[in-house]
Amino acid sequence: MAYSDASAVTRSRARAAILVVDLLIVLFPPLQWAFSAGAMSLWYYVAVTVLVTLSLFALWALRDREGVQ
Amino acid sequence: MSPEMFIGYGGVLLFTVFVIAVMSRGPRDDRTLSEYATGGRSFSAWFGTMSFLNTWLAGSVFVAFASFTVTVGVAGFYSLAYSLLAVVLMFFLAKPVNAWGRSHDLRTQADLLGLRYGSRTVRVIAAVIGVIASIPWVVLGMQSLGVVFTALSFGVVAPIAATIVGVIFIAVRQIWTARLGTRGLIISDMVQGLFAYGIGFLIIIGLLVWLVTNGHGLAEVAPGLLTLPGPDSPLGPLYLFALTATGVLGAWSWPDVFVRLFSVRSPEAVQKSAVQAAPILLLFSGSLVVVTLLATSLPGVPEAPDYVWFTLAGLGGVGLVTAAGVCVVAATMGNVGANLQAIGTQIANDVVGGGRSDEPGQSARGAKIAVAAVTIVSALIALATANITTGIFLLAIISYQAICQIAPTLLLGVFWRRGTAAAANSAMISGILVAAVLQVLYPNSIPWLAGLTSGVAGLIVNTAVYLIVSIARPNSPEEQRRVDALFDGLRTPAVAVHA
Repeated sequence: MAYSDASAVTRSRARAAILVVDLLIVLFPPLQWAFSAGAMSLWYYVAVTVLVTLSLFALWALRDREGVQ
Repeated sequence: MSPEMFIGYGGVLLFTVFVIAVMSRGPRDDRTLSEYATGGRSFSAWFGTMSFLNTWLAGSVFVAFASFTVTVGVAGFYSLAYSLLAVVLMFFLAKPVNAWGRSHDLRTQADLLGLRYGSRTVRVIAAVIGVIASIPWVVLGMQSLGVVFTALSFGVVAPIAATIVGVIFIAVRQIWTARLGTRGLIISDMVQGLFAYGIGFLIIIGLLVWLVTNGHGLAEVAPGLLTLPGPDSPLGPLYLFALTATGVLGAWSWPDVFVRLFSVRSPEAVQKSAVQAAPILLLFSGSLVVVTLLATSLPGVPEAPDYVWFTLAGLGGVGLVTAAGVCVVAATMGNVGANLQAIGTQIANDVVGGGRSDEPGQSARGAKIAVAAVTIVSALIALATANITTGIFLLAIISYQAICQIAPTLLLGVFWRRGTAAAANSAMISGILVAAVLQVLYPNSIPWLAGLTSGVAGLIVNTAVYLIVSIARPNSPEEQRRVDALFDGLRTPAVAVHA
């Protein structure tokens, strides 16, 4: 299936944006500090890990499909 | 031997015989090193998923990582967080690594770096780092079975004797790893993975239900365990960040994990493997952390954190303890086997003679001998240090700081065209030296770097050196044309195969 160059660039940028968001929500220390006390710390990790998992499905939807039959 | 021990040890033996029978029944064509190292690049996405998981989630997730959660509490989730980011990176690495692997007959991580940088030195340095850093983990993997064989003996076998049993058991199991290569490994990964993470998940859910309905809910967890290291943490405000970052960047630096990208049949199949691996990781590892956290209110768990998995399983009697032990063994067999196979192949392919022969029909014999030799050496080290595991664990932690120094050369090399061989060599060496010196001076975290670990400090220097050298001394026009052609080749239509 052929995709236009513009569409490929848009999808490539969207994938890069997802990667940056994933890295930020897991690695950005102030975010961890904000939820560091009590049961909130557990829910922080639950939310972050669920979001990163869902991002994989978004990446799959945005993949380059050309050349694969 | 007590009846309980007979059931426990018998369960492990039966499972192992079953795995060997299944892996030996598959098609076998290990005449060439390429086939031996990549399994013919023929596996579907589901095999790719399970092979990644069985390599990544070692038996230590039930023992050392569970013990870590018992000790530090909710921060134990950090390993799941970095594991999922590693899967995200897997999605992005899929296309260049799998496609270059197929078109250039790549067999190892060092092979890929040698191709990307057009340098035998880069290949050998990366291979040597990979081999040296991986061996302590093989030794630890062998020794970690001591916990399993202690628990499954139900008090009959002492921990040191159980460790010796574990080392001999896993060393004998490697006869089939050496003989069958990656094809056998990936088939066994499927069986081992289904048991370790499938049956393991069912056990975890049952235990979670029991804990919650028997007065061991979240409210009973000590408040100190529901706290993440914050800005005032004694180890430094950036300590948790450093642990997580090292995990993410180190993930694809491990040769055994990386080589899984070559075994799957297409880039899209690798991406599908990543999408399938993420929810399995989330459900399995997430529930394991939660059940371990809730178990901290059980009597006996804080006193013996290494045995938390077995203490929990003990609630269900001998049968459940045996199933729990088989889960640990299944996960350990996958990880140790993958490690030994990757180390052996890398020694034969990239280190011996200073680089591999480019003959497509190169024999697998050298790799088989190397896998057997590394197994024997690792088993001897594991037996000699059976009663001083703390020292080996320290060495393994240090080796993690070393292996992640491959990450800038690997990731920048795959995603950026301007990186040079000189930059890669100087970056890897400077990163390791900085990490080694700081590791000696500050074994836990570096106070004047806000709690960063030696590995992350090394990575900062490593990445800076890579960028500075690449920009200050760019590739020759001829070399840059070669690298550009390599990247441009990724834009051509991929091989027409189904994911």
